[in-house]
Amino acid sequence: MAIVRLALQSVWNRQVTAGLTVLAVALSAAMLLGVEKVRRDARSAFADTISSTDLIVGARGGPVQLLLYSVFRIGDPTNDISWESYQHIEGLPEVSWTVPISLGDSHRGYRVMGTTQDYFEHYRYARRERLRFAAGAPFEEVFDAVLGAEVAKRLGYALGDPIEVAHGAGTVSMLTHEDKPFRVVGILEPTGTPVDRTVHLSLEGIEAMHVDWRAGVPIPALRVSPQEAEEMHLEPDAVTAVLVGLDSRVAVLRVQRYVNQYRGEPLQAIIPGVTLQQLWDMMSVAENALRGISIMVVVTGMLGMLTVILSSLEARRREMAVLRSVGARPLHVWGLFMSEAGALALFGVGLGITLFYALLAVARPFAAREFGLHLPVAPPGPWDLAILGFVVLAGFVAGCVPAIRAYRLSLSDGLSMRI
Amino acid sequence: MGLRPVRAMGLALLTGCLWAVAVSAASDKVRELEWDDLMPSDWNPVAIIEKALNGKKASELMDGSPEAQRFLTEYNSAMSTAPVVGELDGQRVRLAGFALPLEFGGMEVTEFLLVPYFGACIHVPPPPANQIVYVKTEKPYPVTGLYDAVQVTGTLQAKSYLNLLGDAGYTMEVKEVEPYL
Repeated sequence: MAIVRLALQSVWNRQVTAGLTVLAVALSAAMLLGVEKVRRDARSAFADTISSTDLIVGARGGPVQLLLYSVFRIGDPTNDISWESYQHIEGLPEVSWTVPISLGDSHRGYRVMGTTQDYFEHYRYARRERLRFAAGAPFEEVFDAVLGAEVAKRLGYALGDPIEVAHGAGTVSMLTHEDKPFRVVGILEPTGTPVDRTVHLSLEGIEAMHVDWRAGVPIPALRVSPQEAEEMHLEPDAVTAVLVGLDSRVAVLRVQRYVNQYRGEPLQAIIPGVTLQQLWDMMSVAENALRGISIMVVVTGMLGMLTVILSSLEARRREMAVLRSVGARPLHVWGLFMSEAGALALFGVGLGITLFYALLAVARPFAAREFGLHLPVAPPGPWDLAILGFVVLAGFVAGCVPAIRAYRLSLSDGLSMRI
Repeated sequence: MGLRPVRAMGLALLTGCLWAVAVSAASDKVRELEWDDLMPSDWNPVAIIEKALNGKKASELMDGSPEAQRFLTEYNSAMSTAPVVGELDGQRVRLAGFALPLEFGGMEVTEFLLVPYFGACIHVPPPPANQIVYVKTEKPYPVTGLYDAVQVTGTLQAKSYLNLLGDAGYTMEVKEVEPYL
């Protein structure tokens, strides 16, 4: 114990270099924790976004792309699917429920999604949780809108407020549907999924907005007032994707096959869980690269520490010699260096954990806003602890190198004055 | 003198242990299943194909012709209502295959379809209904990749009538899923 105290006091005597070493180790530990955190939470955030949906049907293209745009609102749809195809799928005997969704408009940077009331009934996230209303109710009228929790909070909307929808997905838009404002009738509770950042309208509402549009622009001569639009027959021509629930999950593969082979139109059906797994399989290369880099950073931190201790050895020859002369044995000197390196690593890891949680607290709102990535504050997992323990252990082991050097230095070496 | 009661106790303990081992072995009798075992021995898909072909050869059918369509529909429905082996119902079995995840709890899979192969789904029809086992696991399983096989042990339920469409199928509720190496 006396040795450890001696080591700590010796370190304290070299505050600046020791402090910098601890900081280097701390940064590497924080980076390791951060990479692991983002990797894990990104995965579970994705997995928690869709539940209880057996198939997603969309235009033919990449399965991962369909999953990304239909559920995560990332990227853009490849094509629409016709209303006839939708009705055909809805009519299949295996199908228990369908929720059509229509994308392509936005409101101040938030995606607008057209759907039916069934969405609020059937959409599930995170282990079969249903959507709940913090205020209001699902849309009833053509120009009703239901907001995700974040949209309402960030833009400060309350029930009854008017909102106008922009054409396209930019944060600002030159072409808006300002002539047909919507009214907020419902605000959803936070879910931690992209639903929070979505403005939900009825399919009829989406149709009504575009009723006087031809060839991709609003034609002034065809201008239709909201009241007139409401009177019109507002059946959509097409939707972007369809969420499908089946009576029996055993039939999933067969229905998927049927949709993929559908002759009326090139369609594809994906099983969300399988596609999610495919996405992860693809991402695991990048994840491993990131992991490799963070381990390299830890190694660099350790080497830095070793360099500092080794280079201090020269300056401390006298210190060692004095210790030896007052009766310290070579083993004591060994212990001194081991404890010094170990203590530096331990403090480094401790500071690293603190740093990581401080950064997490700062980055949380940003990650949620910019990437829709929810990073819950949780204690380090078993993997994290194992890695951190390994860093401390590596610190102790690294201490052996200067310890061996010091051990070898003879008593006379330090006492004889050589300048 | 004092040894005897100790020895007697030891004997009793040993007997008890042996008995316990015997009992647990009996209740843990697990049948190792192959995918073939899930098909009734008298089930003949070739006959079904021939019946659906109605005396024609598959090579004679024009791709996309009404006849080919009809054949495909008939064949598909025969495959999806493929019968299950009733005797397997309620048996404790072990089966290995590939897991197609259906439901996640966090990062781990809680429900999946166990199938005999994976990766050929696009080019050939999906496996017949009696080659799919719908598995729910009590302890979620961290899937490492779609191409990694898993093994489940539990009581198999063989239902010849799952829904109005006449889907037959196997379901299993298991405690945990193990990687199959």
